[in-house]
Amino acid sequence: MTRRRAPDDAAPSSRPQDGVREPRKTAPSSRPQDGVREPRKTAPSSRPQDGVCEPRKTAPSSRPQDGVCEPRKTAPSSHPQDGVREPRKTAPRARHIGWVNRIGLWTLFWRDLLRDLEIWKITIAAPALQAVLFALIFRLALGGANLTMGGLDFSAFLVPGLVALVVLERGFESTAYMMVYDKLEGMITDVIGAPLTPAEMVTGFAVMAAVSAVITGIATWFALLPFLVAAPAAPVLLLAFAFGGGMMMGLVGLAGGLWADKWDHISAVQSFVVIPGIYMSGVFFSLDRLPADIRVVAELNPVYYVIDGVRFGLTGGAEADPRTGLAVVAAAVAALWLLCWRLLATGYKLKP
Amino acid sequence: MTDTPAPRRIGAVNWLGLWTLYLKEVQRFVAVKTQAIIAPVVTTLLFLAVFTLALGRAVEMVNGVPFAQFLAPGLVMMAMVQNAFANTSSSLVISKVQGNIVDILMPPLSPAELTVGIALGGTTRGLVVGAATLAGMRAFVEFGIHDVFFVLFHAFAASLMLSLLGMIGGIWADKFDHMAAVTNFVITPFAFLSGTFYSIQRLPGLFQTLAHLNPFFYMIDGFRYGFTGVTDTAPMLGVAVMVGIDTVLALICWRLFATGYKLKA
Repeated sequence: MTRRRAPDDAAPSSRPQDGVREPRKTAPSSRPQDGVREPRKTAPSSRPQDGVCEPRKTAPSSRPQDGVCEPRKTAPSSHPQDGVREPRKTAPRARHIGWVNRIGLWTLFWRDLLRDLEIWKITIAAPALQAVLFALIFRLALGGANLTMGGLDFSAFLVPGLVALVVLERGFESTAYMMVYDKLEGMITDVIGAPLTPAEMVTGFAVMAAVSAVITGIATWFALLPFLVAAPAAPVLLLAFAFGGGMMMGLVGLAGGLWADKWDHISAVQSFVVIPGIYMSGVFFSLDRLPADIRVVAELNPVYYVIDGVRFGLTGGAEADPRTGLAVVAAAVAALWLLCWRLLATGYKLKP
Repeated sequence: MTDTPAPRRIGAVNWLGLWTLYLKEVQRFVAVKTQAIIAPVVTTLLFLAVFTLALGRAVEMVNGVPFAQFLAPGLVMMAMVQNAFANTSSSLVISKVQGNIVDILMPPLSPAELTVGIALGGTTRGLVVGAATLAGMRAFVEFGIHDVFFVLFHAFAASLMLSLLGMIGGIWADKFDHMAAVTNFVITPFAFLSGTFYSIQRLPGLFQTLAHLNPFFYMIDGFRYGFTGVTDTAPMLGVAVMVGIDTVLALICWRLFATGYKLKA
């Protein structure tokens, strides 16, 4: 029975504290320190802060609050900020934003690219190592057996495939992880609250993903040089396909990240859609290895054209016409850009 | 009303606490089953498809076994070890980062009970993923079982080993970055390069010797022996190696919990 009474016993002692707080509310404008200086109308309370103003029975302490009680030499009532602001006659003007918010776009791009580069061990070194492991495994599994694939020596076939694989995966992860992380942490308001139009956001994210993917792709290509020593056959096309592929998957990641409510969702998109979509589209084997009906589906996948295009850029050998590939990739990027633009413009899952 | 409940009497082993800890570890991954069970199964089947499609014509037989039958047990083992490792490591790192590690440090659980409870949680995930992957592969690859003891022993011993490694890594790591580094730069290379995809007889001399010092080789080889009856080494040597390593790792984990390394101030 004694236990039950305990809370009631405690109540009276806690009341005075409540009483002290109330007067504070009546003087909302003053800062705490200012309020202390003014003579209190309300009953003196026993809270230590209030006691500071009264002559102490105990030895005066050296706490900084004590100094507050002494009359200040300087004007006590005015805020220091007022004095600073006075000389300025005009208020700072809002920055004039033209047709495109260039500073905002650059900031968004740079912010997210730096976030990727900061964790380079995960975003650059790990994918490159993964690609090297794949190359090594295939070489060992092949064990010296002769294998030509798509008219190329298997090594020459595989290395561009792995570079494309890394570019595509990295492009997706770049925006997808960023978006889910920002949503879960609430940081996404930093982007939504900024004076950026939906079009600027989509463009900033997509270019960021593409650049991040290309950087990782270049690192991977260097790491794979022991398996294929050759200068790129068509460097400009190679870069175009890598950039386009990174951007395409960056937009897929952006849409997926907007849709996902938690890590489980985005991980499902990656495991069940993105990775199978990449692995089965000519990274490791030429599409003629596939049964005819699956092959038709694979040829409709824009990812296939990115992989094939990267392979053409690196080795000069390809299955599809690079011009067709460029057109397909450009069309896919445009369609995905519009989808993401629409999602951001309507505030899908972002704004109530 | 005046009676206070008597404290529960705990014998030599806190069975209730151990069971609760184990259930917590299991339910943690069941709650994210898409990521923790289904995704690894799909990824592993994808590997099977990719390797058989790419190499199936050039590499018909490995050690007298058809390539797909050779590959399947290796891939199952790879999925098991990666997931056993991921379970204990992520469980501990998440708990440490979020601060709810006190939930396992405060209860009346001894260091040995902590080691066993968390390790068995990770082992369970490894075995669940392995069984699901194996079931999925049956749809594409024909394989029989040569010796069920080796299949079960190596499935359990390997999952346990990686659970314990994950625990050590999880206790050591201060943030997710550290854990990701261990996974990417240690566990994945070992899982990939230890004979999952090829017979180590393919390796050049020095690397073949090194491979025999790699415990991952024994678990993959022994597990495969259970299915195909073909091995690159003496089967019982693999059993001995796994028992020895599991014991050593368990002792290390026990020691880490007992001294409170990076866990207690």
